[in-house]
Amino acid sequence: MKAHQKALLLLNSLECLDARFWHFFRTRDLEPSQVWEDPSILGSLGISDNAMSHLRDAIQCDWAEREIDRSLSSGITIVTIEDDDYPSPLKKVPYAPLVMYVKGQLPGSCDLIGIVGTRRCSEYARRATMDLARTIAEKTGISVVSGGALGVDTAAHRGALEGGGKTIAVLGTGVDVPYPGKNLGLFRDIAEKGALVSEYPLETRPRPWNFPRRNRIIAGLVGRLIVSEAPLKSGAVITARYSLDLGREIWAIPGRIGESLCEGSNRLIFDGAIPLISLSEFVSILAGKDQLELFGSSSFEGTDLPGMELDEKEQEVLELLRLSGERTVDNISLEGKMSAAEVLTSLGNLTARGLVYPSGPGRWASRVI
Amino acid sequence: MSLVGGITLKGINAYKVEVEVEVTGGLFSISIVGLPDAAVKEAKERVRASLRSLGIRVRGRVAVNLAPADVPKEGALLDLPIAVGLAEKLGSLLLREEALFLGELALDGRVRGVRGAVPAALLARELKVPLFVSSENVPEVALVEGVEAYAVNDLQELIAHLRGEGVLNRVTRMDPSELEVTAEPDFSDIKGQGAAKRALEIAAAGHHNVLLIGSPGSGKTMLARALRGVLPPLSDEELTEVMLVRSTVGLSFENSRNRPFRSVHHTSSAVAVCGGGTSLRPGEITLAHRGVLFLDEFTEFRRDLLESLRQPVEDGNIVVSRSTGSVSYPSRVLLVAACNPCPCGWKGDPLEPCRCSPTEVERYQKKMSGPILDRIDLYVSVPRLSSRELLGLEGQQGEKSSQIRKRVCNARKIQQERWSPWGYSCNAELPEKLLRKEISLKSDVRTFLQGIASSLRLSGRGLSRVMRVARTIADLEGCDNVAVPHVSEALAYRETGFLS
Amino acid sequence: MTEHLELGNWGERIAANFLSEKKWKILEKNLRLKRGEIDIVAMDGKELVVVEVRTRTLGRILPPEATVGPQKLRKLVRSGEEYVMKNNWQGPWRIDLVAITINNDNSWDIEHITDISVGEFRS
Repeated sequence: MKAHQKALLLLNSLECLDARFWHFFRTRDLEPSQVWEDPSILGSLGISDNAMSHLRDAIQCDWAEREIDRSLSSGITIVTIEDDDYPSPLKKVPYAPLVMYVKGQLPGSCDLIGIVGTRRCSEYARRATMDLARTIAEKTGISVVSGGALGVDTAAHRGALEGGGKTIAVLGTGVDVPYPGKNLGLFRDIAEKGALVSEYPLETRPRPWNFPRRNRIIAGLVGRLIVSEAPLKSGAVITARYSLDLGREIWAIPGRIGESLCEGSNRLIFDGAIPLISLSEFVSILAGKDQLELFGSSSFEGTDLPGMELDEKEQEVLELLRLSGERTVDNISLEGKMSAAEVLTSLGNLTARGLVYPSGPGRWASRVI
Repeated sequence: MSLVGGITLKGINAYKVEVEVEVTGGLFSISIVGLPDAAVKEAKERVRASLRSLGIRVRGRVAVNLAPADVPKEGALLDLPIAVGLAEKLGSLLLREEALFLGELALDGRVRGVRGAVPAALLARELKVPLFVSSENVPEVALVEGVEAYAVNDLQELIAHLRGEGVLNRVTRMDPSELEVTAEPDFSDIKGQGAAKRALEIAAAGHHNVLLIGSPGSGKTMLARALRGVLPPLSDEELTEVMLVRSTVGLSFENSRNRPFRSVHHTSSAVAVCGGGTSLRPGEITLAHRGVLFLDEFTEFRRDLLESLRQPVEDGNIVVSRSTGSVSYPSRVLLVAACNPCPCGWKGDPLEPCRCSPTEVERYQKKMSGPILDRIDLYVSVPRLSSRELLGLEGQQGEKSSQIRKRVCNARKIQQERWSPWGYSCNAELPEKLLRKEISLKSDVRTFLQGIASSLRLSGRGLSRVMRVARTIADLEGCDNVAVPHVSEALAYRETGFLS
Repeated sequence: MTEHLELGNWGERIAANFLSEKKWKILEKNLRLKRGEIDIVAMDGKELVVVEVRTRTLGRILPPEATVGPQKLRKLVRSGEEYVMKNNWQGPWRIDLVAITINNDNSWDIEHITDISVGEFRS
């Protein structure tokens, strides 16, 4: 164990210090070993008594050694700010975490895209996020970063995995604590195809104040941040503000006006975020290629069903749905001059092909392209 | 042997009770023996007062024996036979032939209607004896063919009749062919909701149970109520069954062939829903027999209550066992459940924001996969139409319930003919194995099914549910074979969707 | 004799006359039995009647018929039973109340209440 690793682990366990402190420490020409050999020196650097006693306890019981052993035995790597494999974009961030626990494999490339949004997202946002992440993964191979929470985060991770790409979940708990529990399976997949990342020591339980700190890491990690759907007061908007401060590129998926769920994301567009109005355009910008080249000549056609072409009515229903967002069966049958049964037949078939989805009670929408 | 007969109810069946009266000297008293309940014991006050109103004075010690002694007797059903038996004993009249009497006495001698008139009429027909009932019960008794029944207004009239003086009106049978179905509310009264109407038409045609999901105010309850207007009218046989049940609990006769519609509140007890209690009364599920049982706020129902509904919904009858005996009630119902998409009710609503946390929604939706939901073939989500959308539908005249009913009846007839060799009458009743074997698919459907089964990750059960519904859709169109469009439409009524 | 007993005897005479006028056959008056007293025993046609007589002057709060409570009634039933047994009466019998109220002008009203036990008290 290197001295700086032990020192950083100990300092990180206080959960209040970041890269700024380390730089300060280093500029004082202090040796990392002094952290545990002579902790009193830290007191003079402005660490509170409370934290000092915590630190002394940790030193006393060889907490750092045991933490490393535990990490090793459960396949978790500890990356410190001094290490070469510490993500380079973060290194330039003043409040970068001292230590990162990584379960899985951090992608080699540092070109990362963050996708964040509310946990209680609309069905539309869920689908849009999922398609977005999938397309990014499929067409560009860029890894998607999100927070591992329910709603938009889950959709982003899932979409990236479905598209065969890598994804990073930045957690607000210890990397060995699956939270929310519902995402246990998702976390397992992420650890296999990407990485679970956290600055918190192992076995850290979910605490409300962990999550805003986690947002700063997401903001620092990614080059581009996409806000999918977020109300005004939300972690996603906070993340976007951090990213803005760091000079990252912010994108937002436009939502309907007057809906509190997307007020935050819409406000970001007003404030200068780039509205994400077409998946293909966005992806082609990412790839720096002509969009037609990327997507081929035909648009997304969903799941192929053997020997079945869309018939006239199905085409028409699909067109109507693509024309404007959510519709009820009544709308479609009125506009397409079809009976409810005919509309439902078309919708059933289109759902099976993955071209449309039910977006709310009695409402249908077409898949985002 | 006494010629005076009354009845008591066990389940929905009437059993004859012989009323024997003995009068001896002594201070006046009436004692009733033979497992009477409190209401029967109170009969003595009513009997004495009403006899007195006719000028018949009861004196001495009166013993009333209700035979058979081991059957519990309940309610005010036995007032009239006790009064007749007593009047006969006191020499006010002489019975020449055995007869059944049914009615509650008012203190002034009027005869009130009671529950159980239809079972009593069936019993009288079986025993080939005349039946005397309150005129209030005439409409229901009139439905029973081949019973000699007389309408009684008051005790005086009855005693005069039995003396051979006045002649009571014999109840004339009502021809049920005159009865109609009224649709209230009519499907054409409901604006929009084409998808839900279509789903209910399919539900009616194949007797499929339905779950309606929608925000408050989307019209779930109205749709459920309208369902019975598109169901085929009750057949004569079914009409008698429905009347029998209604009569057993004392509900008045509804002058139509409308199927019953019963709504159960989620706070109801298991006894209220499934039947039972000390007097072994039929529950709501039996009152909804041959009709619609509506469970509003479905997710609020206690799990054990839903669990106890499962068996009767599957079997079409329910056996209730209590210390006082066990009885079987019919319970062939079309189940219509309704619930909100999430605890606050606004998930997915375009106007109202949903206030539920993801965990709350998840917990809520878990309830939607609880017991008896595997008995539900159709999942219909009902949009709450905004005023703009409603205005757009202005002037759109929907189909009348009677038109839809015609299609439903045809589809039922086709199913009846197809499944009668196996003893089933509609698609929903069919066991899975038989369905898969006999569904007769068009050749291209099989490849289509294989495609969707993998793309939609359908379980075996989910697939046969889709097939069952597709079969009914084909029947509605009068197609012998199930084709791809039928299956496509059936896919639109699956439980997944925006809930996944 | 004290005043109220005198009043009682007077009442019983009035009651007996009243019943005789109704063509009742008076069998006993002021009968003392082991289980209590019976004011009058009479025959109303084929029915034997135990008659309790109550006499009150107006101004007393309770109406006379209200002075026969359940306890008194039970006593009457028991006395009646004793009499019926002793005299081997097989037919029906009942208990009546004759209530006499004396008005301020010394006239009186008679009320006759039949069958006051109404099947409540059985032996």
